[in-house]
Amino acid sequence: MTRQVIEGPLKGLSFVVDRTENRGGPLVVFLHSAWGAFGDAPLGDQVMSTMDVATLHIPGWGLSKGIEHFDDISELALAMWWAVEQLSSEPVVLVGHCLGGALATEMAITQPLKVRGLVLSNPFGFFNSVYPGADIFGLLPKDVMHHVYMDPAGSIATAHYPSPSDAYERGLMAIRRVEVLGAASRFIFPLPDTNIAKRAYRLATVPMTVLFGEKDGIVPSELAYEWSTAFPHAQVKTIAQTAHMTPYESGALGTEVSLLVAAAAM
Amino acid sequence: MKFTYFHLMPFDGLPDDFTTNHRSVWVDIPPSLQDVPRIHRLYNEYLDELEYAATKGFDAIGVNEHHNSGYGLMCSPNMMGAALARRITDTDAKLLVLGDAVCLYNPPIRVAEELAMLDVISGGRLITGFPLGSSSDANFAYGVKPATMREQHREGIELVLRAWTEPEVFSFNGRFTKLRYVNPWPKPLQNPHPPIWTPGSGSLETMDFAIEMNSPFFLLSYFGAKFATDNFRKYWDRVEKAGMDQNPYRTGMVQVVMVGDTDAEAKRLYEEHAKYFFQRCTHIYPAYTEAPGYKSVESLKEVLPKPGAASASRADSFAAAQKYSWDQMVDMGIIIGGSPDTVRERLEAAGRENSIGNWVLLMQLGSMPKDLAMYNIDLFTEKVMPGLSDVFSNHQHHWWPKPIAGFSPAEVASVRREVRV
Repeated sequence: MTRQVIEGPLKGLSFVVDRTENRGGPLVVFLHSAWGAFGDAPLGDQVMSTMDVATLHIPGWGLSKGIEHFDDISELALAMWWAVEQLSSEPVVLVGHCLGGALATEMAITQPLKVRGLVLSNPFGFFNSVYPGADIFGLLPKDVMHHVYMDPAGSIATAHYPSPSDAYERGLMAIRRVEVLGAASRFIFPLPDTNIAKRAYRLATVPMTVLFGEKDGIVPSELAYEWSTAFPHAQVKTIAQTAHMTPYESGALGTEVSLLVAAAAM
Repeated sequence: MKFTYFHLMPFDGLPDDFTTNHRSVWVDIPPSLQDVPRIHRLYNEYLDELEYAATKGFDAIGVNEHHNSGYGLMCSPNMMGAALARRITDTDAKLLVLGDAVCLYNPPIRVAEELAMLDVISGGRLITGFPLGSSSDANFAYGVKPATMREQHREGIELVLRAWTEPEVFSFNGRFTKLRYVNPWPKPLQNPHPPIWTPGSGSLETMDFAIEMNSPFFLLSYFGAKFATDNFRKYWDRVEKAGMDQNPYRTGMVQVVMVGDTDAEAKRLYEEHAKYFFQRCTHIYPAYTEAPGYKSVESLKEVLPKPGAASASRADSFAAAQKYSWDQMVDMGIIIGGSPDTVRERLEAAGRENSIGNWVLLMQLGSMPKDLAMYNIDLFTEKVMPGLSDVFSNHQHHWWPKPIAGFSPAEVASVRREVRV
């Protein structure tokens, strides 16, 4: 994996890109969740060892900077495209998890001809008051974890959120969490409805797969109905025994990326 | 020193099991706990207390703004201000509106209009205070984005100030508000505008904003001046760095004050009501107190425990205060309570130690009934305030309403009118 920093078109805006370059196939751009990027893109060994994958850190979440330029997710989508265009002149596969899913959808809506396919996991973008999901901005870490992870005390959760014994270190971790969620609040606060439905027609010809976690307490799997209605051509699947961290709790996201890339090549 | 009788207008009917069976007094408090006829009585009794405080010689009476809350029933400070404005014209009291978080108003020109109306109706008695707004109110109850609310707040205040002071109709092209014609009728009676105070909970951003605005910084804390010493030290350091004078009227603080004939009587009279407040009215789900993005990373780091600490718990937290006895609250200065001598000595000491020129006093708290609140007002105005009003009299208060040259207030008809035949 190599890391590069692309200075953005706006003052103070920079994009950090972690790239695993392999020969063949379109560039796969992974956009991480509102909780930040946790190491390598969670796309499984096969994708990571055979495809050209770029994890594009979203400003304010990962190491990229300049989130203060953006009040609206469509503005951010345009800037993200600017960065992607530095990486590839060919159409790309966009993969997004959680908020990254909402952003990937917005990017595809903006430039559908530059997208070979769209694979989303646990994406924000719709809201249904019957299935509101937990409020990630209004819950303490200890109260939100069981909505996010199948096993809040398990190895995945503790790898993402270790608990130092030192209160100072715990405080720094809490501040980091506040920082990334504060950035997310620009786009999905107070409700995570980004009005995608009104612009869904733009994706009629873009191959699209949407994954939900059966036990996701943040983006309830019942929202599959909203996605299926807005994007009737999309494959919508619910992955058993996963919560909001479906890409980390199963290999489904990588599998779907492989399938979509293979289908696109035919 | 200047003293304001301030009110939260709490709901006094929270059940005994509130803290065990309900998550929060704020934001998602169950609507089923409302007793609207009781709230009717409370509003009227609380307004009686405020009017009585004005009559008894308080320098000002104060109202504020909260939403979705059993902690404070005052959703609209301007509405309460309007209810009071004509009822205090036979006193010298000023009217402090320490509410109107401008980012809650869309467009914020509404704030400029309503406050100007209050200033005109009251004959130029208005003091304004523009808080950022608590996270519970602004973010969770009103849906303001935490990440951008400080910029929105600044822009809103800029619009209000320009609306009050610009001599011509103008256009406002802000990031959050765009208006072709800004032209409030009326403008305030005080020229160029009513005094503006800047309330805050201790964030460095708010202190700096107050200094930039040349506006008094008001610390909104329920834990008293003893816990606030570090905050005031930071503030005064920043004032010095900005090259400004150390005028005590540049600061103010909210303080719970409860006066009895003796220390023992104060405890006997007020303890249960103080406990009601600190056990039920401040029973807030912690995540509602600061949405992510509400405070800067720098401000959050300021309150981190020291490296190596095993616990992050703080004595000046609502969670800790739920367990405090009356004696502990008095010892820690959370409540300045006791005999008139005790209260006078402690207020003066706190004021002198931290250079606090303005006290915004909470003297009705929690479940305290009207008669007891009136008694508290009586003892304070008769036996405490007279010994303190001259403290800091060697300093000029630049942020207080001044007489308006050539202006004569209108006659206000008494409430009970004769019916004309």
